[in-house]
Amino acid sequence: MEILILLLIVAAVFYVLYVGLIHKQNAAKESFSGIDVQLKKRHDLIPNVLTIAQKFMDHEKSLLTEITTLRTKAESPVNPADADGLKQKFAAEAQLDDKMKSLFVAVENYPTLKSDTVMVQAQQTYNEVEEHISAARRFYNSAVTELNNAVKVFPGSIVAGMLSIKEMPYFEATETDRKEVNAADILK
Amino acid sequence: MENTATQATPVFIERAPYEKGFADFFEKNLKERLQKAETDRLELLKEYDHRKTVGYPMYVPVILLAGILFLYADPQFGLFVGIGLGALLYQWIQGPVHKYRSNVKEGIVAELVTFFGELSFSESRKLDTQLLEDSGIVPGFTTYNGGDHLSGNYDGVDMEMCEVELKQKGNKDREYVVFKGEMFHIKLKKTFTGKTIVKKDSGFLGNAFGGIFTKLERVKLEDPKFEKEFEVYGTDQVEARYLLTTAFMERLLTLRDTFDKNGTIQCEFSNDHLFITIATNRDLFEAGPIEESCLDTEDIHIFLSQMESVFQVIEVLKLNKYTGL
Repeated sequence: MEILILLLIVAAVFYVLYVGLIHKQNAAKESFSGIDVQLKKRHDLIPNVLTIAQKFMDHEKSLLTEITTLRTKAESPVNPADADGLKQKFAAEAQLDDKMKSLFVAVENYPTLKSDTVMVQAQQTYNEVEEHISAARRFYNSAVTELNNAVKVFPGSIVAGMLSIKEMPYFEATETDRKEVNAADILK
Repeated sequence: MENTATQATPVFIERAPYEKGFADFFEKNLKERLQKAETDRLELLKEYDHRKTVGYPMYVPVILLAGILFLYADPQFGLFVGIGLGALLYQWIQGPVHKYRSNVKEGIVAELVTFFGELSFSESRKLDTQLLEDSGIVPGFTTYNGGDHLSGNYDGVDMEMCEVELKQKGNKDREYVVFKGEMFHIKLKKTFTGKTIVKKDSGFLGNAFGGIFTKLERVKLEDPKFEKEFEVYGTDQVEARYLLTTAFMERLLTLRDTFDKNGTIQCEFSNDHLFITIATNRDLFEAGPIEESCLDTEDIHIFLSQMESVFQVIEVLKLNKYTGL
């Protein structure tokens, strides 16, 4: 009788952990789709920016080509359950974001382009998209933190192992964002 | 009590970047009004002192009359007469004080707000009742008193704010105050698909109880200070985080602190508007005591900092910029 009660308790604990892990995994996948929506907005915006920039930026053709290549690479679909695929996607998006930032810095050297109304609007819209991406990233990282904690902490780690539920990667800030800003570089 | 024969000349010295230009505005638009208000204050103060001298002793016959009626006639009628006559007498005594406060609002405050551009002041106007009833951060109410309404356009953004007092009928039809403070309504240039509510943290049980009855999801933010003070609910997790950036959260807390450090601030983003409430017992637009000079510009400095904190909220959300999204 005692063994039966013990088994029931173990089963109940297992069930609670199982349900919790599934919920957290689904929440993390849902949050990834939230990022994906925002990243798609960025991808859709980039061709418009490049079209405007091409008219003026004769000396930046290699940068524009690089951005187009990176955009194509970043647009590739990925399964949220594929941790390596996610890491590659995030890395591609980070590279794309870095190059776009370089483009907008380069725009400063072209006064006509810099003051072009359409370009100004495009930059503002791009900044707005970036803020949405940042918000989506915060949500994704929050959901992933909950999932990863549940996967790593005992006894959830046992249940996660049995169900093959793995940790998901964080969507981290780009290297450019993390670098210290040197005022001397800007105020040349 | 003050009975100065000569007045000091009020001077405004700019102390903060957001006060830039106000010294000129003060010289041209406010200085003479303040001096007139001070002259009026001294006359009203004399009248007030006279009414107190005459009026307070009148309470004796009023209490006697009420007592006689209570003991020898009808007790309820006695109470009615006592309270009624007492209230009338009080209103008569306070007459000059009310007039002084009204003069300051109409003469000074109404002109003061024009410094910010297209803003106007109304002592009697209040926020639309439907706005309060539709809000998820305003408690239920049966009586709505409002006033000292400021409205207009700041840098392309329509906004209004006013002092609000809400009462609810309780047991035996007695009313009790459920909210007193300031409310702000800001029309957004962006339309949001979801609803995001920032409420005061009610502790573990309060939050759990409150969370049961809401259809909104709990949004956990990374800022531990903000998380400790507030509970956030929303229909869209991403949109909630887009709105509630670190910069916005700081501005929200600054807004609360400039109005009342001990006040309770809550806000709601819904459709095309931002609605903020600050529960506080302080009156924003009231003149100081009639016994004190109104030439002191310290209250003006405070008012400017309060308005600046409102404008900072608008600017941090970039509500004045259209980005096509």
